Amino acid sequence: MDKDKRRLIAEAGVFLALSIVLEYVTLFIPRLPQGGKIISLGMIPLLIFAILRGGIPGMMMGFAMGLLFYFLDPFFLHPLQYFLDYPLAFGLVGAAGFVAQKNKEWTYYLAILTGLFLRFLAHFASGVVFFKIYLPEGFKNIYLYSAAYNAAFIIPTAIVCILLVPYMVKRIFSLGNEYR
Amino acid sequence: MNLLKDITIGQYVPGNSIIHRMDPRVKIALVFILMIQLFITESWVSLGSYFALLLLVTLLSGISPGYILKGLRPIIFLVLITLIFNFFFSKGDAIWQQRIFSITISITQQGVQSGLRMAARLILLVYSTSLLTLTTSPIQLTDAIENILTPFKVIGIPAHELAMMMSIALRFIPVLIEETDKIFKAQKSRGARFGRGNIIQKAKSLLPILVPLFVHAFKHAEDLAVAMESRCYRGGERRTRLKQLRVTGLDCWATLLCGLVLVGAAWWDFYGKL
Repeated sequence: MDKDKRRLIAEAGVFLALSIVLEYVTLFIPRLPQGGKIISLGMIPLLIFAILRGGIPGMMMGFAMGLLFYFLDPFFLHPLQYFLDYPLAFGLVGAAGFVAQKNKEWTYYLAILTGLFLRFLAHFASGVVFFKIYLPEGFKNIYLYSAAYNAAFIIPTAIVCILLVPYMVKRIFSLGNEYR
Repeated sequence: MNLLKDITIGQYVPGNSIIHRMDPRVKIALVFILMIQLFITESWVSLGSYFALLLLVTLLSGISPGYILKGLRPIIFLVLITLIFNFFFSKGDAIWQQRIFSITISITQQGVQSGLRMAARLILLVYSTSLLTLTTSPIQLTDAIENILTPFKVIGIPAHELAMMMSIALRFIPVLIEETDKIFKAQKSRGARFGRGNIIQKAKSLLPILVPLFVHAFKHAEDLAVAMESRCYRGGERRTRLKQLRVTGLDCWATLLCGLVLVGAAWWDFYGKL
């Protein structure tokens, strides 16, 4: 195991802890009916890690984050719903790292939007799975409802991430080479 | 205003009951198998036996019902949706009808049956998974996940690395909570204002907390990487543990009990319907 890999694991672990702490910060964040918060601040460390360290480490951290979030705040309705809502949804946010290129600031914005859009898709699919299983057949608006519910927290999260993440990445770069 | 007001991370209730002492891998496996049964079954008898089993486990674990009810709170909304939609929108024989303006609203017998069954299934699912997280610490669950994911290394899932990240995170959560609190108080004493204005202003007000927090996080990671290197950490291979996961007689008895409930319920589903 080389030095870089060790450092990646250590960084991902600490950032994961930071994600959880930020996710639980109760300051001024309203909640949705099912208990989800309207702004998912935990996305900030994950997106920063993915942008700085690339897609594969980002997805790994996201996957671990999904598993850990489940242990801390379990919400299990169906095995497929679990997979879509936890490991996959968070893992896909890490895919932002494939889009971002260092020193090209505009790619950060694209990366944030891509990551969060993929997370939205995973939660959207999970919502559809829930309705298909628990509601009677022939109910038409399930796609719309699932999209609306998930958009209700992904859009505010995206606004906050767009505002903060690129700025934070620039600040981290300005700290010196060791953080790059 | 307290930044980390009422912070409770995780649900684990420490204890030394026989449920707490079971091997986490066995617990995960049993919950998973019983869950599959829950999705297959249609009869109230097996739902009832499943509920009785969960009550027995709750009793044995010494967890107070308050924790269980707290775990069920997030699904109240979903249970209500499930009940209402099944009652009113299922096709079948109407047991109640009412004309409001030009729309006829009816509750069907089939709707009531499937609604109640779905609601019971939802509640039992969340009940059983919260029993798992209430009686198993996150670190035990992480160890179990590493163990369960190890066979998937063949298809490229880095089980050890994932578990390592999770264990590090669990170790650092209390440290970072304390630091967040400190930074928050320090910035407030310098006159920073949090949580005012629109979403953009609120987001920007977080920067004086986030920037120092990230610098701290990088420093912790750097120190940790050095510590790992100096202790010759080389990934999962040939790594030994202080606390080994062991399947004991207790786990065998628990498996036997769950197996009996499972087989009994399945037998009733196939042959017992009168």
